[in-house]
Amino acid sequence: MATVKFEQVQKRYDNGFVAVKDLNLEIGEGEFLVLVGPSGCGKTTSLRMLAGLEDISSGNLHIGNQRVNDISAKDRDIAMVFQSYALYPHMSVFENMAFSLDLQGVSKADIKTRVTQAAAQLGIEPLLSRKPKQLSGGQRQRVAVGRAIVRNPAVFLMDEPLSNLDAKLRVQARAELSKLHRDLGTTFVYVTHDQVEAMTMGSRIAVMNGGILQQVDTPQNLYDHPANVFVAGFMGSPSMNFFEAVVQSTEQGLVAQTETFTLPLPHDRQARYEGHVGQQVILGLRPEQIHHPSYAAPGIEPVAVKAEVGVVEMMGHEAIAYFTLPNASEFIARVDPRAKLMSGETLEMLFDTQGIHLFDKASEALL
Amino acid sequence: MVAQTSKSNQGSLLEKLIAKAPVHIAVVAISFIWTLPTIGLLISSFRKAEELTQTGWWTVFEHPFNFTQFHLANYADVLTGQGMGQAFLNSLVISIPATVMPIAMATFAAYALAWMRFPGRQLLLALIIGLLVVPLQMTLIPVLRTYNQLGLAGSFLAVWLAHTGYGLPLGVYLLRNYIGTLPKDLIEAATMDGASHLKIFTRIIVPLSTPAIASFAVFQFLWVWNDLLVALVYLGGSKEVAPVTLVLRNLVGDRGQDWHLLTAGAFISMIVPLVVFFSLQRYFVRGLLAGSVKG
Amino acid sequence: MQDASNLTRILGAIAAILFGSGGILALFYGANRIVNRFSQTWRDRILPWVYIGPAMVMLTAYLILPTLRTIYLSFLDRGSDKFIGLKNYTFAFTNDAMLTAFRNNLLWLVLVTFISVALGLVIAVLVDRVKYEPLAKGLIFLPMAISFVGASVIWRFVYAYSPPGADQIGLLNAIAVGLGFEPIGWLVNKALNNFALIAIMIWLQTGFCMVLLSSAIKGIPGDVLEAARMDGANELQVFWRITIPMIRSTILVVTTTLTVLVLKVFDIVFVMTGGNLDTDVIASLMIKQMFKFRDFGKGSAIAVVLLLAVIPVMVVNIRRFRQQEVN
Repeated sequence: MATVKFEQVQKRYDNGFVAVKDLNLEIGEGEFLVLVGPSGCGKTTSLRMLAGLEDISSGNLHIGNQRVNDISAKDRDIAMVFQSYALYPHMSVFENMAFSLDLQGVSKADIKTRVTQAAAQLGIEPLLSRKPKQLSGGQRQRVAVGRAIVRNPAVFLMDEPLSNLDAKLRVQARAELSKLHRDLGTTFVYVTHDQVEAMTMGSRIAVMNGGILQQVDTPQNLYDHPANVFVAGFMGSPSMNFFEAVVQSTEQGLVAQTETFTLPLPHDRQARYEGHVGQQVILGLRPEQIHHPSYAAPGIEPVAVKAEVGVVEMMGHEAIAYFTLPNASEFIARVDPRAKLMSGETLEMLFDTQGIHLFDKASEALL
Repeated sequence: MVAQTSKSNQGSLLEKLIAKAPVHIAVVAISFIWTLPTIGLLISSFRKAEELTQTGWWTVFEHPFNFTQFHLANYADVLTGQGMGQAFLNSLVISIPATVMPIAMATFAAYALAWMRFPGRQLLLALIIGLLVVPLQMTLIPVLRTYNQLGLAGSFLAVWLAHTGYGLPLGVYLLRNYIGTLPKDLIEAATMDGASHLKIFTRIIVPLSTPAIASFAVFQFLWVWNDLLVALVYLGGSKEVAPVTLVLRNLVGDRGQDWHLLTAGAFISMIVPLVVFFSLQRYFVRGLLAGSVKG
Repeated sequence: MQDASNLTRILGAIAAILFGSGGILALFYGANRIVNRFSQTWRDRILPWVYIGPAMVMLTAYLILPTLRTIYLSFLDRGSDKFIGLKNYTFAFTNDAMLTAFRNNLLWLVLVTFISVALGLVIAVLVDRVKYEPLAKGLIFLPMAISFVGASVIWRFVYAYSPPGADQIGLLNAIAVGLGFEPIGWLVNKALNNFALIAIMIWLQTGFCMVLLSSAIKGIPGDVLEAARMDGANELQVFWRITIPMIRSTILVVTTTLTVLVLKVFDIVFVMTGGNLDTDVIASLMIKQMFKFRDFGKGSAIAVVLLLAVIPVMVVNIRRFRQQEVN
C-alpha cells in the first residue's frame, strides 16, 4: 500500500508534442482513483509514466516516500492490468501468474500457495493449467487481474481492463473489481474513457483533457459541481445541455436570459452571480433536470419552456427526447417513458432552475 | 424429391469433373514432368554400372518386379571409394554450427532492433536490408586473403564464420520482422513483472519466436548444406574437409561418365535436404514468405 | 584409424556446436552481467549494442569491409601491387568472354525470371482448384531443397548423349530418337547449351515462385472476388483485373529475388560445362579469374560489376522497407 504523488509532471515527446502538462495529483493510500477522459487526453500516458513504461520529461513522481522518476518499472513495486490483458500466450494460466514471483526468486512452494490463493479469490482455480488461447474474454480478464494480485504490489494500475468485454460482462466485472479493491485495500489507479465505469468504481475521479487535469473529486461532487464546461459535458450520459445566455438583473432578482427563454437563477446563488451581471455565460442543465409537464418530480423550481419534440429514443425505463427551440438550438431531456411524446408536437417542458450551472463564456470555468 | 436432388447433384459432380479435366490433366502433367528427372536419378543410382550405360533407366519398368536389376553396390562404392562418407560427415560438421551460430547472433540483434531504442536503429536496418542482396562474390577475395594470412583457409572454422556472416542479414531481417510484430503489451507486461531485457528475451521472445527461428534454421541449414561456392573458395581441394557438394562436383569433373557413381553420390548429397524439406516444409515455406529477398 | 579420425571429427563437431551456441550465449550473458553494474541510464544505452554487437562485427568483417576492399582491389593489378586505374573495368566491358557472359546473363535473367514467374503463377492458380494441392505443390517445390550441384548431376543425366545408333540413356535424347530425330548434344551445341542450363534454373525456381504466388493468391479476400463476379466479371477477367493487381507486390518481390539469384548463380555453369562453349556467366567468370588466372584485380572488377547489377534491387528493397515502417 502506498500513496502516489504527481508533482508538476510533464510528458513531452521528441516531436514536441506535450501529452501531459503540469500534472499535480495526489492519490491517497488505499484509494481507487479513476483517470478518465476522451482518447488522447493524456490519461494513459500518465498511467504509463507511473508504471515506468514511459520516461518523465520533467516534474517529480513519488510512490510512497520515494521519488521514482529514475527507478525502473520492475523496482517500483507496482502491477498493471493491460487493456489487451497481455497474457503470455506460451505459458499456462499458472505460469502467467507465477512469472513475476519466479523472477523475484520466490520459492516454488510459496509461488504455488500464492498463485492458488489468488486464483481462489478470483474463482479461476479450474483454469490454472490452461493456456490463454483456451480462455474466454472474461476469464482472460480475471487471469490478468490475478497476475497482478499475486505480487501483492503497493499500487495497482489498470489500463481500460474492461473495454474488451461485452456489455453484460462489463457490468459484472465492474462490481468484482470494486469488491476486489475493498478486499485488498490497496491503492488502485484505473484508466478508462467510460464515465460510467469512473462513476461506479472510483472513490475519486480525475478528469483529463488535452493533457491537462481538469478536476479531481468524488464521483458525486464531480457530477454535481463540475469545475468547467468540459467536465460538465463529459460526465453524465446523455451530456449536459448548454445554452448561450446573459446574466441580467431584474426586479425578481438575477436571471439568465437566452435567446428563447429566461430562467431565474436560484435564490441561494444570487450573491455568487452578483458580479457577473451583463456578462456572456454558458448555461448548463442536465437532461434529467428537464421534465415533462405531466411527470414533473416534486420539489423542483420549474420554468416552462416551449420546444418541439424531435427524435425520441425509448429505453424502456426512460425515454431520451431531443427537442428543438424556436431559434433551432437543441436540447435533450430524460423523461418518464409513460409520457407518450410525439415527434413534431410542441410542448412546454419544465426546466428545473435548481439544476442550473453557469460557466464563464471565455474561460469555460464554473462561475 | 430427396432422391432427385441427390441425382442432380451427381450430375453436376460429373459435369464439374469434366469441366475441370483440363485442370487435372495440367496439374498432373506438370507434377509428373517436374518429378521425372529426380526419379530417373533415384532409380539409376540402384542400377548396375554396365546396364546403366547401356540402357535408359525407364527400361527397368519392362520387368518392374525383377529386383535383381537393382543393387546397393554404387552406394557402397561412392561412400567409401570416393570419400562420400567422409564428405557427408564433413557436411554435417560444417552445417550444424554454421546454422546455430547465426541463429544466436541474429535473434539477439533482432530483439535489439525491434524493441530497444537507440540512435541509428533505422539506419542499421536499412544497411542490413542492403546487405541482403550483396553478392558473395564481392567478399571472396579479401576474406580468402585474410584467411590465408591467418592460416584459417581450409579449416572448418573458416567456413563456419563465413556462413555465419553471410547468413546474418537474412536472419536478422527475418527475425526482426517477426519479433517486431509481437504485441508491445507483452513486453511491457514482462517489464512490469520485473523482467530484465535478458529475461524478456529468454522467457518471452525466444519461446514466442520459435516458428520464425525454425524457419531461419531450415533456410540457413539448407543453404549451407547445398553451398558450393563458399566451400570451394575457403576450403580448397582437401578431401579431409570437403563437404558433399564439393566431392560431388569433383566426381563430375573426374568421373563424368561413371553414372553409377554420380547418381548415387548425388542422391547421398540430397538425402539430408530432402528429409529436412519434407519434415519441415511448413517452416521452410514460412521462411520463404517472410524473407524472400535473399538471393 | 579412419574410425578414430571420424570419432575425433564427431567430437570436434559437438565441441564446435557447443562453442558456436554456448559460447555465443555465454558471451551475451557475460556482457549482460557486466552491463548490469552500470546505472540504469547507462545500461539502457549500452545494452542494445551488446545485443547487436556480435552480429554487427560479423557483418562488418564478412560483408562490409570485404566489399569495400574488393572495390579497392578492382583498381589494382593482378597481384594487387600497382594502381592501374580503370583497366580492369575496360577489360570487364570489352573482353570477348565478358561480353559473351553479359549476353548469357541477360538471357538467364529474362528467361528464368519470366518463365519461372509465369509458370509459377499458372501452377499456383491451377493447383488452387484441385484437392491434391499439397502433393502437387510439394513435388514441384521439391527441387528447391536440392543443391545446384545435385541438380546439375540430375540434369547432366537428362541431357546425356550417346552416338546415333546406340541406346540413349538420357531422357531427352531418348525422346528425340523416339520421335525420329538424331540425338542432340544439348550441352555441346552452342545454339542450345545456354538454354539447357537455363532450363535447370527454371526447374529449380518455379516451385519457389509458385509457393509465394500461391500464398498471395490465397491471401486475396474471398469477398473481393465474389464482388467482382457479382459485377459480372468472368474468371479470366477476375484473374487479370483483380488477382494480378492484388498480388502485384508479391510478383515484384519474386522477380527481384530471382534477379539477384540469377546474377549470382555460378554453380550450375561451373558443374555442367565449366563455362566452356560460350556458356560462362559473370559470376562463373569471376571465379575463373580468381582461381584459374589468379588475377585478383580483374576478379574484383567483375565482382563489382555484379554488385552494380544488384544495386537497383537493393534500392527497391530498402524503399519497400521504408514504406512498411511508415505503415
